[in-house]
Amino acid sequence: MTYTIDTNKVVSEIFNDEAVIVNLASGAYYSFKGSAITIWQLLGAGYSVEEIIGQFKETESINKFIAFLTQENLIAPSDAIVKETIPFDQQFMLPEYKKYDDMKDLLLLDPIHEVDQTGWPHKKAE
Amino acid sequence: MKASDPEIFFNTLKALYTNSVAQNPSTVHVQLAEKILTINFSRPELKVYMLGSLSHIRVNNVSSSDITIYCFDSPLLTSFPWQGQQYGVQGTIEGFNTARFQTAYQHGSGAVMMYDRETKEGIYWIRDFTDIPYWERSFPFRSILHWWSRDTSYILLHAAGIGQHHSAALLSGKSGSGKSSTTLSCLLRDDLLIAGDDYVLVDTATCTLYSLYNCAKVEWDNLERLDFLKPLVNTTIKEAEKAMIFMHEACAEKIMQRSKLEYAFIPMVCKANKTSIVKCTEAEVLKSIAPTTMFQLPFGQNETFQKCITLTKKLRPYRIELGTDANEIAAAISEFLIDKN
Repeated sequence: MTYTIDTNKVVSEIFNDEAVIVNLASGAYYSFKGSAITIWQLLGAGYSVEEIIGQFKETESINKFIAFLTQENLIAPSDAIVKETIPFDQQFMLPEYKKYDDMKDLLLLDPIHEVDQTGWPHKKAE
Repeated sequence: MKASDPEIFFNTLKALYTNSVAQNPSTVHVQLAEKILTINFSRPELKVYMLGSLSHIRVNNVSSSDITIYCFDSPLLTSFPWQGQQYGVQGTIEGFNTARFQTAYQHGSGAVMMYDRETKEGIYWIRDFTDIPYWERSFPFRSILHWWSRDTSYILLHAAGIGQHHSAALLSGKSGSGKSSTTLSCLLRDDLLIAGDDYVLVDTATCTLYSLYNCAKVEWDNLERLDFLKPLVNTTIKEAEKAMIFMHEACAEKIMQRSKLEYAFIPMVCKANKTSIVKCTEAEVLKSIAPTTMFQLPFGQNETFQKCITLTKKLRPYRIELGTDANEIAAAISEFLIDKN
């Protein structure tokens, strides 16, 4: 199974010991550490889950991490077979990942409005 | 070529502006980093209402402008050319945001903001200027200025800026992190200055910090602890949820117009006896400046993220573990900046 990262919806930056990922649609952002950083890079490069598990010889925590990425809509299944081979550290470190959703309120800040015939929004009755 | 819906609406608003300035227009120029912003107010009352936070960067004798904003109120706009289902998050209007035009509706006040990236003209329309919320006065036109900055190396950053004439730091953090009280503690030291409390303009190419808004806000509850601020608070804005300090009126000498940006401070309330400034990581800085800037302002999130990355990599990252005494916090910042330079 391979996945794709839609870079129009998800942006990320990788530092030495931490990756910062932002979901533009939900406002959630994430910190990845340990092998979560490498797995994220490998998925983005087109490596399949089976290849990643094979490289690290670890199944449970990788599957759990990928399930998390899927649930958070950070990756989506892909049929693409294009793979970019990238160098990576094969030493496995337990994937660490943390979600921050303190921006969610900003996206929900706009009250739900009803709109009259002329397009004027007004607050929905409680 | 047929005009697009946003172009037609933009021209409708401009025509309405022209119609509403027959009486008493008022034009001002503002130094926007190294550029000039011209704001055309349809009447003087609007200028007085909206200009307070920009008054410290007003300039005269300008030959040309880099961006022009038309700000007016008018009851003559009686319908919008969009339907209810077109309202999106952050007030965006589906179909009215194209490569050229950006449009947002401000829920609460009913203001409509538009920007034309081709002509670099912005419009701020509201039915009645008394509907403009108090907080808009602390950072007027921020969405339009954010849209303008997208085509430049500048970023309108949701962070405070403090420092000395030769060296400055960003202060960024979540609500309750101590950002505002740390910023305002700088008023206690002669050698410390403030570029902004909530938003600052930064040139990511040159790493230069520019003051944009001179209004600082502080929780009313915090005024008891920071009682040196009480004489500075603007008492005419009664409805404000936070006390507002217009520094240009209250302490103009404390405003830092520009400085070399070298540090990023992430404040952390520790309630320790002593304030400590310790190294942290670039990732911590990116997490503290990027999401809050990206999601406070409509559109351009991807570009904002890239600019935040560029900036993060140019700054030296520190965490400021805050003590409880404002004088001591200011002293720690002052000593740090002197020591590093």
